[in-house]
Amino acid sequence: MSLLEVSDLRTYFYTEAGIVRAVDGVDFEVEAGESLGLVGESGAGKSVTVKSLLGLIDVPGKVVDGEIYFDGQALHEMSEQELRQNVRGSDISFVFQDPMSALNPVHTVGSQIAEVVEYHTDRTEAEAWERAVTLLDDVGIPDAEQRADQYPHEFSGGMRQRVLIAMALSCDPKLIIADEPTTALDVTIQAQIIELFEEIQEKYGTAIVYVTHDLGVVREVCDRVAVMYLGKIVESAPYDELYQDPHHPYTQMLMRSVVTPDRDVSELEPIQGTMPSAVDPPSGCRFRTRCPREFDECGRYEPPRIQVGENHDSACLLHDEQFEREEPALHLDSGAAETDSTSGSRGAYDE
Amino acid sequence: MSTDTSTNIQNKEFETESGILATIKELRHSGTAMGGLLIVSLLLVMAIVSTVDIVLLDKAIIKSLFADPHEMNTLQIYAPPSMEHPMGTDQYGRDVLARIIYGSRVALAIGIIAVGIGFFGGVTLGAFSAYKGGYVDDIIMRALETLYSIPGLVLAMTMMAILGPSIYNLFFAYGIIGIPAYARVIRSEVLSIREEEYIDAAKAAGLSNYKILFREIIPNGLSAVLVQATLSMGSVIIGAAALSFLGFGVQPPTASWGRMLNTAQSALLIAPWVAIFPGLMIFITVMGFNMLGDGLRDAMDPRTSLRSPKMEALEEYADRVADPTKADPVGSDDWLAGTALSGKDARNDATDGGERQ
Amino acid sequence: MSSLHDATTGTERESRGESPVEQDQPLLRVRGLKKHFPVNTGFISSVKLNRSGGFPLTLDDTKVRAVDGVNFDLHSGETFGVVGESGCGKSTLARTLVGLEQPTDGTIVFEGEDISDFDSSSLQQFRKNAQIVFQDPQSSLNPRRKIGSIIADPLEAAGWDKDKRRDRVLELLEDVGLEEDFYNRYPHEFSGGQRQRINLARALSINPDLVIADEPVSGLDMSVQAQILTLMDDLQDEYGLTYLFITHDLSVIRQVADRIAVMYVGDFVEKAPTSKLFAEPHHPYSRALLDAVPNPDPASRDLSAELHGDVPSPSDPPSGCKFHTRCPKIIPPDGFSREEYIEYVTFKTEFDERSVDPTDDPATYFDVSLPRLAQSTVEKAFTLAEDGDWDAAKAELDTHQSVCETAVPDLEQVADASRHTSACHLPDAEREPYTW
Repeated sequence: MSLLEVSDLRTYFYTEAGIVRAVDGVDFEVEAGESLGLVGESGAGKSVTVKSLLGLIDVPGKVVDGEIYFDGQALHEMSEQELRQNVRGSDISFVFQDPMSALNPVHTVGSQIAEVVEYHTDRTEAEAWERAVTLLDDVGIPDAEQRADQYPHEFSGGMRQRVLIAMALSCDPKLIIADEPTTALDVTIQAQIIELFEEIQEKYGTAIVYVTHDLGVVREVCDRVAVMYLGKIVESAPYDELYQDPHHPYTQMLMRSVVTPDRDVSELEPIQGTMPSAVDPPSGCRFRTRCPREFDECGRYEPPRIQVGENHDSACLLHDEQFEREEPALHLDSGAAETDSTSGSRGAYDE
Repeated sequence: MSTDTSTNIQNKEFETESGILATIKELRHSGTAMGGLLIVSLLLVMAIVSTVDIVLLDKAIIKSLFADPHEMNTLQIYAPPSMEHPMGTDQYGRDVLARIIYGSRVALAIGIIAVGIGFFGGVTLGAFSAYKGGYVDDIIMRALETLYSIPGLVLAMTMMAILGPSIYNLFFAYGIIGIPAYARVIRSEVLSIREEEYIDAAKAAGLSNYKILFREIIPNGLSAVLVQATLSMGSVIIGAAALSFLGFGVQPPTASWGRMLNTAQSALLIAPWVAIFPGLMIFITVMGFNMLGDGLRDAMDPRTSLRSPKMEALEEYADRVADPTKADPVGSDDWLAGTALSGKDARNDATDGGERQ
Repeated sequence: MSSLHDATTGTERESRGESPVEQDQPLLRVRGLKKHFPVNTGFISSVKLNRSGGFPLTLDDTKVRAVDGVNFDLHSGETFGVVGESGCGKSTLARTLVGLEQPTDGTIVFEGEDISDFDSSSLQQFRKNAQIVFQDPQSSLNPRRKIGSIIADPLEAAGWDKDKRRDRVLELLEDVGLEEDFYNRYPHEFSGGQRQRINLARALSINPDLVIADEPVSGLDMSVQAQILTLMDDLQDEYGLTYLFITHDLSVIRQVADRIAVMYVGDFVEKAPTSKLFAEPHHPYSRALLDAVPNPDPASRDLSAELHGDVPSPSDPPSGCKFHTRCPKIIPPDGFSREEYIEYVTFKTEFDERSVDPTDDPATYFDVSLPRLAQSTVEKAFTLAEDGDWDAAKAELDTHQSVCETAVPDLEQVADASRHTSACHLPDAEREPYTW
């Protein structure tokens, strides 16, 4: 049994403008020790998905359906108190995007970590403090003993994120959920944090769900990746396979439009248009309004996730034999393009 | 993204009605704003009619409708409300209703003129001071703070003692007293707006400082001051009453709500109506201005719409249904934008040092 | 509007990267440009208590040296990229170039005219020919004005009359891929990508020769980034623009720039044609930056985080080469190995910040053991600091110094490539070739 099993998760927001179906039928699994990347554009519902797992969705949002099994426990049935005491911070911890707003500015960094430790374990105050200092040291903060007495504003952005990670590790979680933890950081600092995540995985064997829009980061940190679009997962696969052999038209277009260090502007093919509103999503397949391969049935049936490889599925009717459509054979030439790439091989998809 | 190349540019109407008209049209959509507008309009009508009446017609209108507000009748002192006197009479037998109606002149006059002086004077001074900064800012603000530190009543009395106890000086005095408060509010608004990127953009485009101050900065800072203005209406009216009571400003027998309220204090137990109705009028006036002010503030801000969001969303949906070939023209990357849930996109956030500029 | 697929082939872009035709006169020539911000404004707030003995009051004149002596030429038609992380001063550079800040020192020559003193008439003329696109699509547009009017700002400042402005704006809306109807809408009705298009339209309205783009795609989603970059590319061809493109994102800059300057705490540490920089980065900072970029291609090399510590503050930058406190290739003085000296330098930095407790055992601050000479220096310094004399302690520690701390490296030619310069003391013999 997987460490985390999510089936048919639905989270809606009831606003005056209508019901926003932010997450509309999402299933995925995470094995113990595995890292899953959740990617997509803004508005796809990635943040809402992971927040729903821990019951962090506030009015007017509500998790309306779905089952969340973590280590055998049914999270969707737990009360707020149960979640707080047993799950959040201890078994599953959360690393937020903006470290400044996630840390209380009037308490020292050490005390904030110690507080979490005290709440979830039996340690005494002194022991909790010791643990906090050890953790700060583990995440690479120099002179941890002194710095534990400092306040968040005395740390730089990268350091603060390390503090958040230390807090996330404090009670030996089985799963860490990281919601865009490096988006706001400089690239060299981001590299440090990415290496830290890799270290954590190696050392502690923690499972990670990593939400991001940056495929480069996913490549470094994640074993598997799920691509989200407008509240649904459209494709999931081991990362290498997704990169080399994307099946869903959205994934393919995403690959072609992403700016990477070894690609020229002329090769970029931006995706047309913008993501439609989640209040009134397109009928049938939600991507069809921007899809170059759309055909009639796309508007009528919602495509199920179809197995296209071992551990690799894609939600597109093109894969369904009964429609007898030619599947696009889209392969991206991997092998970092050297600076002498010529015009012929754009490393492109050939349709 | 479709581009409509077949349209003749000349034929398109691009400039909509002037801002004022558009704002008033926007007000239509909010119940409270319309309520406020109604009240204020009624008051205005009352005031205008009363003025015309007293100046030109020798109180003909009010006498025919109700009674002469200045006519005393010792037989009818403190008469309770009745058919003849719907709001009763005061300590001199004068009809309260007639006095209420005539009183609107003073109330509105003091409200609009005094607050107007304070508002325009304060906004100009405060904005200028903040924009210039440095010594200019220091000097102006210290001067205003000195003014502010003197109790309003005392200052007004002093001014009127110097200038004379006429009602126009009353307006002037209260106007001047109000300036510091507005100046401070607009100053802090300007100081923060000045740092916004669109101000830099306007400078980089080459626009003059004057234009930047009046077109870019002040409109964005006005909403805070507007609320201030509506709230001061009530205090100004009552303040004027206090002055009148002390012998400055409005002299009897001129009808003034504040004055009526003051003199009614002694009669509360025997003739409460003499206090209730003026009090009620002040209350309604202040409420009316507040409601209007709120509505105006929202109507002036293009980001907030007074229409119920449902209506707006439905209208947009109808547009899209009518022409499905159009890609969502004002689609948003973030469906949360505009709802209470939208925090700023963290990547757009200007964070402090250590993160991206 | 030209199609989104740029007709230029790979080889053409390469040649563009190597050396665009150099005219006699560059469009923009900047020499020794500095912009310093005083930390304390005014006399009274500069007076501070002096705790380290002597006269009790002192004038605190620390300055934030945001831009600390920058030189470059910008040629017509090219895209010059400036890349660096937060705090390096690139935004201040942009703002100073466009006239929003007064330079503290240095010269700026635009189209042959010296505009360094930025008096109002030269500024006015400059603004007709150089415009800026800002970073944050949300805050760079006045929320209370219609975009049609906003786009026309530069035209208004230049004195165009109302009708001509309107026509031009409609033209521009089409150029940037927006509908004419949008003329009357307000900024909040648009998405981030659309707002950046509006910003572009505004910058282009008076047909400038130079457009300075300050992080134009940083706040945008990945797919939208591609849209905007492609648009900027097309506009450059159509209007014959010269771009000064500022960003922290290396992937982006590789796409758009012909030449790149790498900026660190107010200085350019390396300048090179794009292809050269990515193939043969010279400066250790450039290398560290490239190594830190995560590449989605699983067959490419893994990223590595080589830099330790934080970016130094521009108000109190390190001596000599500002990068020395974090440089993995610092030149150690005699008696130290590189590894040992890196520890020593890190320690010195912490010591400067007084985050070291002199009553502790010195050995706790080092992961490797120092040479004996250094150990005794450290012990002496600790004793001095314990007595309260931190200045003397610092001087003691400074008896061991690297050339990287004492001498500021100049931008010098790399090997025989005239257009590739880098500011580093490390001799060529000690460099390893770079693999991307």
